[in-house]
Amino acid sequence: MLEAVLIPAAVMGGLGGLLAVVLLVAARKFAVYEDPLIAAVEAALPNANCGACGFAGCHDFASKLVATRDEKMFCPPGGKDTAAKVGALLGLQVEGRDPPVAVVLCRGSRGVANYAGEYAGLADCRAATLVDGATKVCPYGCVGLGSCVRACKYDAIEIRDGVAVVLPEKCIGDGACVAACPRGIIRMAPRGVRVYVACVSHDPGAAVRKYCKVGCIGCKRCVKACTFDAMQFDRNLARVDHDKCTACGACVGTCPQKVIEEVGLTGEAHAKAHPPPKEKKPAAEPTAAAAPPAAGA
Amino acid sequence: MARTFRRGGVHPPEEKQRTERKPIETLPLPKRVVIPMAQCLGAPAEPTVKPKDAVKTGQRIGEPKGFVSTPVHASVSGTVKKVDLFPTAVGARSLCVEIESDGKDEWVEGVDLAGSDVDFSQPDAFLPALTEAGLVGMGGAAFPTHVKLKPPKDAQVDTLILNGAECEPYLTADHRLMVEHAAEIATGLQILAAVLKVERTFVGIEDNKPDAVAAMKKALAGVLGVEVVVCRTRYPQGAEKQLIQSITNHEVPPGKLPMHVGCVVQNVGTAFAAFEAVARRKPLVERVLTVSGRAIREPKNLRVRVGTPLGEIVTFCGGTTDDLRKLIFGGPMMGKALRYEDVPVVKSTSGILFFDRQEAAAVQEFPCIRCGRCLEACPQRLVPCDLGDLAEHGLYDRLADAMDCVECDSCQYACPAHRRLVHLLRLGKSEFRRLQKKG
Repeated sequence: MLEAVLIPAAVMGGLGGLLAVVLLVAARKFAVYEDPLIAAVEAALPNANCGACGFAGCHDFASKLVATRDEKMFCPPGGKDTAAKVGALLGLQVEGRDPPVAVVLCRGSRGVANYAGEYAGLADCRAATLVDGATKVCPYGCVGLGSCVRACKYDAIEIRDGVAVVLPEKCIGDGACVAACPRGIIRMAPRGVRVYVACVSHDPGAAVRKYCKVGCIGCKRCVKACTFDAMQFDRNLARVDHDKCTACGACVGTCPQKVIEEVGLTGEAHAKAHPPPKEKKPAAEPTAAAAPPAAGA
Repeated sequence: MARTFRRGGVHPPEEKQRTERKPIETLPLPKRVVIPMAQCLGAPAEPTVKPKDAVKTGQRIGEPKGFVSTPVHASVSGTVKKVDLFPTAVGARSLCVEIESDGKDEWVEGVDLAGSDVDFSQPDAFLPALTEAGLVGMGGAAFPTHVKLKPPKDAQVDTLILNGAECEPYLTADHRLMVEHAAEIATGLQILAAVLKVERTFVGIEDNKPDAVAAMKKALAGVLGVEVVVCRTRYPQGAEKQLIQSITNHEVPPGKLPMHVGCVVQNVGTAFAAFEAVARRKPLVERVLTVSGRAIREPKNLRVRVGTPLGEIVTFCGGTTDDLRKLIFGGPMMGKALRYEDVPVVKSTSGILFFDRQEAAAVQEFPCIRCGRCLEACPQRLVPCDLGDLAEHGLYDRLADAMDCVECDSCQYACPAHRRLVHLLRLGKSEFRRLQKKG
């Protein structure tokens, strides 16, 4: 009776032991040497495997970094902290940056942008641009069908009133939404205090006015208002050069279309960006008159 | 017995009764035309005129860029007003030349509008004439004709098929053209055959157009090597690959072109344009199209100058009813729905349809019930429901099969759950191409 238990136990146990030896030998004999630094660097990375660095996951990034010791390689979501840790491990002066944040360069929400027609196709931005780009008149603005929302693994972007809005605190800066947007209106921007033009239309002002109330009409007021030469102007569209911009807020307050968006301005800059309402009324210049003051609020 | 392709197809209501007996009318000269530079399936032309230039009808205003590109000509005489971006049927902003007509319609020198003689002893002169005239496929795809007529050396083309099937519901432009201009089309066919140096030519016409069949048979009586083939009325009979199958019994393999089975297919409208290009030295500046649908007061077959704004056509056809719900450039199956904007007619516009609430009814979509009707309907032997699922779930890398889809809309028409299969497949195809480019 006991044999019926003991024999199988002995056979299985013996077999287990034998295979363990085989595995041990195989592990020793066929071991591939990997720089222990790679594992250390990988442990210091966020391990989100998001691909924002351009490599296939954190391990790939770590092995490339250890192999090349390239100081310019950096992990966008990890930011400065990760860069410092990785730098210490490799003995490099890795100059990290804070992770960038996605920015939607369109504010043409319902009631602000003009709509035309009725779209009955697939609820997907890419599919919509293959036909006639859904129902917004503007051929450049946010389609608003949420391809970016589905691309984001971190719920950091959502559609509000027909336009995509980034939630900066959730955004890790992997750029998945940038790749998903068929209109190319999502860009990566430095995190923190900043000013940007939330429009991508290069069309002349008259055309832009037909699209939307918050489109850049190319009036150049912001260019004149900027004392740091940070407002670049190209074919009817202003663009902020983040390297030169000091976030003084001067351009924000001067924009008649309220298309210059500001994040985190305080003190004097904030006052410049939000001039008291009485200044708006006497502004009887033709460009300002056409923009209803309440639109951008 | 009428011939047809072996597999798939649907038979939607034909709706051709509105216009099929109406003779082609010529639209009065438009006051202004907006001529897009992108009028063929290839590189857009480069504008060669500037604002304030005086142009004559038929004058070249766009230079082709590369081999797969066609020149563009002024369709009225007058003054160039603007060279700018305009909304067109191909895109919201596309480069166009706007010409204000002087109402005189003066043609460039060398054009003989009444000419009908073709010198068949010098067939080498045909291809340059066709290229110069800016010919594109008039069925809707707008592929440059001169490219199709110059098959690569390894392709042995022995058959030319003239496509008069016009399988799209509502459209009757090709039908009327065959009835009214059979002789010109017959000459055009011989011109195209001479360029391709083929002996065997067919004209494929669906059996719902007996008068067109009779007219073409009469016009081609006594011409050697031409057969008018009556095909069954079955959508998509006029799709290139299906028509080849119906007529020659050859199936174009997946991923291959008609020339791989020795065929070149040309639309009857293209043949007519080829005749005009050679016999009259007249560039492609006007075309026949069908204006139909329940929301247009007077449906018509119209001869329209390229670049005519939609508004002028609507006015000429008595205006739209208040119930206009959908505007389509092309046929109802494969055409493109547009927002109501004053877009210009292009070389490939075979029809303009104005749908009312009933015709444009957007039906609710339900999940696939695995009935397999889309499989039966697909003339390309695909499995539209599965391919649609893959596209819907973003598995674009598995959509290699979908590249064989011709977007004929048969599956979507047959689907009892009203799934938007063609839109899904189109999305899938474009994403698959993007993935392939990335490598």
